[in-house]
Amino acid sequence: MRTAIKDLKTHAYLDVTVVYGRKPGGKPKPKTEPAPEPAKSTGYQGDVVTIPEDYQGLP
Amino acid sequence: MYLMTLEGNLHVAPLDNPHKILDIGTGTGIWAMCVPIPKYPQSHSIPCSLIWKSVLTWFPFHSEMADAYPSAHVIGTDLSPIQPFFVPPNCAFEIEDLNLDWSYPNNHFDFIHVRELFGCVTDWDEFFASAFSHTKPGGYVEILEHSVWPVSDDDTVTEEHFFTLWGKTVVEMGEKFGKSFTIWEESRERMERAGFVDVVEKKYKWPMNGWPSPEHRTHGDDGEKSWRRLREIGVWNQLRLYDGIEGFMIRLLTVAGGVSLSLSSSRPLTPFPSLQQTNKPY
Repeated sequence: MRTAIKDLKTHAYLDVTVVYGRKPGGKPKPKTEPAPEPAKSTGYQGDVVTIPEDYQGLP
Repeated sequence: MYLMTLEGNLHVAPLDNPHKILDIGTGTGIWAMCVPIPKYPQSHSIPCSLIWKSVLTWFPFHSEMADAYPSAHVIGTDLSPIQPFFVPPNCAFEIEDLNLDWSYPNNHFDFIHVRELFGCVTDWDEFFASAFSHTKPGGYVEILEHSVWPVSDDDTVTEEHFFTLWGKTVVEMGEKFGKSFTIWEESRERMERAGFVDVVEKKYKWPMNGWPSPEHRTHGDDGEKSWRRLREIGVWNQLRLYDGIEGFMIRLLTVAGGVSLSLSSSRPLTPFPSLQQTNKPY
């Protein structure tokens, strides 16, 4: 396994899904009410960590 | 990795001032509570500076669910009491077996959060029925899961590749174990079947290592992330698997696979025997 996951020539990935749903009902929202807040963030979107262009994989 | 996947978001459901939040299978409780300052990583083959920089990048304000919603009360449940004692005042942890009757009132939670419960649930329809019952009308349930079967968008993962054998083995052992690993592709259908409405599914891809480059990247449902982000996620995924594979596999191999503990400990990373052989020591 550890050998396989070091192989940069194998372009493998794992699928990831996020699913959400609402339970019907609840208080009807007045039309003047502002839209629900977007999903809360940690407050920082994060720059992509710099990995060298000539990255050759982990040792 | 989930923060990277969700670009810094703790969830994607459009919550509206939630008051009661439940995190099922909370694990360390990191999602539910304030993230403590992590210790400087050690003994990893990945450069420490890279880990440290990434940790600081993604947890700059130590803000998690209880901090993000100070007016909410967040409960994290798990079979194992491994969570810390020093937590925000609006966060609590309780021991609970999600496969038994839930010890909360019906119509109670504004938001129920589920993450990586594959291999933990005996009946997903019953699970979503419980989640539905315990969610307030108008409340949300969100589930994040990933596949355990590596695939590729090109032909680099073949039928004969070790990843295919590994994925097939884990999925089949999960079925044998009575707790499936395929919920990542079944969540939407099962939630709709449980009665949830406005069900939304978002898809992403986790490279198995840092292979994404300007020349090669995933395609399709990958969140339209840059190759750099995909590479970053891939490096973390490799580290996660490298360090965690023994823990991930040992119970499946011993309980469902019939492999002896000593062999499963010493050889969790080698190609498994086919399932037809798993009742025999090898």
